[in-house]
Amino acid sequence: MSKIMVVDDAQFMRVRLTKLLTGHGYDVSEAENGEQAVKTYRAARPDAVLMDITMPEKDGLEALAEIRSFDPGARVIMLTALGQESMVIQAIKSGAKDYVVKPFDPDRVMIALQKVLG
Amino acid sequence: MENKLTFDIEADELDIFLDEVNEHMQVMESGILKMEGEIDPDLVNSVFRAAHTIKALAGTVGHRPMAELTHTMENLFDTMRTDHVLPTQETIDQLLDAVDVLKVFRTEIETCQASGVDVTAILNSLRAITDGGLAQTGNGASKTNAKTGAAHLLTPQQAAELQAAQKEGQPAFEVNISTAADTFAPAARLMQAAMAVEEAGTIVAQKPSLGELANSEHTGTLWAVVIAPDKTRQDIESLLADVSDLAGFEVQPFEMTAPEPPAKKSPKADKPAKPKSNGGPEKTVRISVERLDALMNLVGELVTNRNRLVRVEDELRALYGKEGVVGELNETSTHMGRVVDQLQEEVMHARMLPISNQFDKFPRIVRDVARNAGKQVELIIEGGATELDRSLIEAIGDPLIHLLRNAVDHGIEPPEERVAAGKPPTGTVHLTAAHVEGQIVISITDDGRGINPDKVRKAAVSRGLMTEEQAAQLSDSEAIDIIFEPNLSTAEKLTNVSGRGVGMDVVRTNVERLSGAVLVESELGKGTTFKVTLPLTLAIVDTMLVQLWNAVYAIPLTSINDVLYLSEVETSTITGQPAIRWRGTVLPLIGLREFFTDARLPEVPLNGSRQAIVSVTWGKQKSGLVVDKIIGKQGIVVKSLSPIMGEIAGVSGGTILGDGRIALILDIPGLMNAALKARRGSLN
Repeated sequence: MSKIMVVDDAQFMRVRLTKLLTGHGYDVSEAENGEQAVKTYRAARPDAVLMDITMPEKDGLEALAEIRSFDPGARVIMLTALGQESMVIQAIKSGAKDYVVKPFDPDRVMIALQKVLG
Repeated sequence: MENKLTFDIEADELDIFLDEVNEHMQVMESGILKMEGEIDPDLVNSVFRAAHTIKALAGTVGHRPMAELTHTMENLFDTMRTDHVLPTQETIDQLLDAVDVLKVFRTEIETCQASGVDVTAILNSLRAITDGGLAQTGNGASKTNAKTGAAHLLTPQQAAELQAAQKEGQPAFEVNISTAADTFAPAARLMQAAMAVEEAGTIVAQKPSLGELANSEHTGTLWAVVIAPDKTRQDIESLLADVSDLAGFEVQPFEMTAPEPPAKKSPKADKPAKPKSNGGPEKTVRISVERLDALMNLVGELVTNRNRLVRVEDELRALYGKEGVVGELNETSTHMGRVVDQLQEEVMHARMLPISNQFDKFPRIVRDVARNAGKQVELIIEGGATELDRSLIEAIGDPLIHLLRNAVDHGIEPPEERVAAGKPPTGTVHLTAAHVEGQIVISITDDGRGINPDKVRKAAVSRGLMTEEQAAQLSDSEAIDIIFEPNLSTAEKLTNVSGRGVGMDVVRTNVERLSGAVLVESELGKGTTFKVTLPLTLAIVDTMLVQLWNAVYAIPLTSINDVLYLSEVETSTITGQPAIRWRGTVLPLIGLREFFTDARLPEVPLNGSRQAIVSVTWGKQKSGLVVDKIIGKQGIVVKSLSPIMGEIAGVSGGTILGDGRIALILDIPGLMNAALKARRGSLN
């Protein structure tokens, strides 16, 4: 059973994603900002991360860099909104494995996840 | 050995033909030169097209050797773009030689005289290079598939890297990727793709680069060549399959010629527009210079008549007042005057060309001179878009070439000498053009050894130009100016001593014939700057009209600094010469009454008219011209004097004034030179 961490400051998004993922049989943990995401990652060691870019406390890019600094193999998929192209490029450069555009198509989230999980 | 040639071309087509051939040869020449330093598929494409067009032109008029040569060049360029490999120095030399042969062929078509040039040798060597390239392709040394290859080139280092890998039996793959339309953040997808490819091995070449992708510079496609030991095509394909939003990707072994991929958008579309160069698709009509000259002449006549109309109107107003018909005449003539001004401006602009028409020829010249002299020289050109009258552009070419040759030959030191002097081994020559206050200023600056004023002084004394005392009295800047003296230049031996001076008098004479001026500034050990100043046009000149005796003279406004009344200043005599103190310096006076004196002229008293001093500049010198009366400012149409009259010292041409009188245009450089010589003569 693969463990997935969902990071988003909007509770609605976390609920949506968790529902989708548990429905496909994944084990889901949640974090509501970058700061928490780093802590939760250390504790739970998820197999993949779905993470928003724009968040309070610590944004997705910072959290991504921090996570990859202690786990270079971390598989992180960024959740992004239209108009954040430069941040997406930045994220890919910093080692994000993929990105999914919000509002997301559930199928695309699942395809992206299956790809990073191999 | 005179040999008549015939070509299928009408007399009225010849100019157009030659213009076009020249243009394309220029594209080829500058393109070939640029291949030395830079890889740009657009560049190879542009020289390819130029060769192709000349081939068609030559074929049409029936110059078979020219068509054959351009065909061979075209083949070589084609091999270059498909093989991705930069030409070697030897190849570039051969191609430049071929362009030189093309120039000879062009002249053959122009003159219908056979030149006797043998094209076989150059054809054979170009073919050998082309075949060599193809043979290399057969070995699979540095070849990718033809179609995509047209858009990308490998640097020699990259090609070498690939060859080395191939020798060790490591497979290399060429990857072409495109993103789907409407992809969000396509640059990020391409970056993902590039990283996926990187997982398979080492990327040797990639377009766009990661840096470009980070700035979102891309056209939705990515091309990369990767050395991937122990990997198969399928391995790379499966890595790419994990990247979302890709419209497609192709992975091909690098050494094999692959089937034609679907046509792709050229990467050109994304690049910022380059500054206009030769052969750009502009909406233009070719017009002969003769026709432009005729047009300019007609406008000149209009300007003369406009001036005349104003005069007639003045007289009518004096007689009948400004009411009624005279008022209407005034309105009409004012309006017509404005239209004529605009027309004049438009025609002037139609005659203007960017100076790059000349500048584009210079890199080749500088390169050749530098190679022959064993110098390393970088030519930096700025302001090529600066426009000036085309007759001026043609006329200024030779003086500029002369100055550039001198800068390379005598200014820039050999590499060892430069290094010893703490300079970089490669010298720099800056060539710039700019519009400054209604004039064109072209400067040529080198960072070479500079001119030694003492050596010039010695040379001047040994040539008998002046005594040792006179030479010693000269300031350094005056001493350096001697290089423009005609007698200095004839001494072959002196060129080595002074480092300069070959035909500098010719340069100055030619520039001054164009109503221009040339100045030199030099600092020993640091370098030399030549500054050439030219008017925008020669056809119509703004002048100050002055009266002398009963005649009118015109002084070009560009040489005038100030005008003041003789009665307002105090005249004194300095070294036997009348002069005034003006703005903190001594301004020597030239009495035009004395200068243009002739026994046949009737004595005309001054009649209490206010004598004035027109202060003029030529080069670094200033003088005050004493005239009987100032008439006023006027734009005049320059007419050359009839050759029957011969050269008149101090006069460069004439013009017809509004009242039908003739005014002579003063030749300020000639005038000041003559006055200076007369002064020196009287001193000695």
